[in-house]
Amino acid sequence: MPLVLARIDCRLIHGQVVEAWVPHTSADSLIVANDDLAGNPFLRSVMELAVPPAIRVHFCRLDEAIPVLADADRNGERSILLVASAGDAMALRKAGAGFNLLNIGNLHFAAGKVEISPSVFFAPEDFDALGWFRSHGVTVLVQGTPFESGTSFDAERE
Amino acid sequence: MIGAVVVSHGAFATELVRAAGIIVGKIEGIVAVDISPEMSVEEIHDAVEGAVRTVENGDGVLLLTDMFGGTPSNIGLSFLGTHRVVVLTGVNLPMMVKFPMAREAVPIDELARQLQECGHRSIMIPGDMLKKKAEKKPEK
Repeated sequence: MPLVLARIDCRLIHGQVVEAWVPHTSADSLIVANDDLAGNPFLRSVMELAVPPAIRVHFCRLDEAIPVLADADRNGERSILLVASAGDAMALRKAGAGFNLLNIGNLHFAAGKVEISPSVFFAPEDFDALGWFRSHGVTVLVQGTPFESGTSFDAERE
Repeated sequence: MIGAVVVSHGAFATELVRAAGIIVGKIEGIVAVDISPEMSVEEIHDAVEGAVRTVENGDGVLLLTDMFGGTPSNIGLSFLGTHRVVVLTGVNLPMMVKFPMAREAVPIDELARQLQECGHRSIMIPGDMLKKKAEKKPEK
């Protein structure tokens, strides 16, 4: 089973993912590719607590993600891939992660960032990454929850 | 579609609906009624009735109130004889988040029971859960 959703979300596993995207996509597994979290067992257990027991959760470093994705695929899991930044998403796509639709849910505000939606702010390097996605056939959709209409990144630019 | 009216002391109702919207997106067919201390019983009754009318369309209306025994709940109960409503007390955010998807599948009485169960189960002490987990499976 291919990925049911690839999502950039600086909060990784949280309410929107567990309560909205998991039921909406009928996902039964979450793959969280994040170097910080992979090195922090405590934070991992905290994030895992709120996930229903029927949903498998895989935490891995970015450079381990491709085999983890392949394993989940072989097991027939319906997986949601979560990364914390556009750069991480780009690294995974370059390494061969199979998604052509990329959802952006949350990218928090910081000085110098441009507001794209109330919960998504782009830094200059995010624009670069998103440009790379566009030139590689990946559609980028800014959409916090499945029930709101997504805004395509291109439309935002115009 | 089953409608919902959230009734609370203070602005809790409005903010609860707003908070749920952040998590699962804007919820249709839901109205918040905030009750302030200067409102008379008649005013509160009228506000809730207006809200019920706004969201009712044949499948019933869930009255979600902040606290059993409080005014929102007591006034909510006064609609039992006149409207197709079910009063559910002690509403919390997990119940609100569950509501839009749960109402698609079941009639109002069953929906109320499911949300009650969800509300109960959602109150926990995560620190204890982590401790239990650590005892069961020591970190490698």
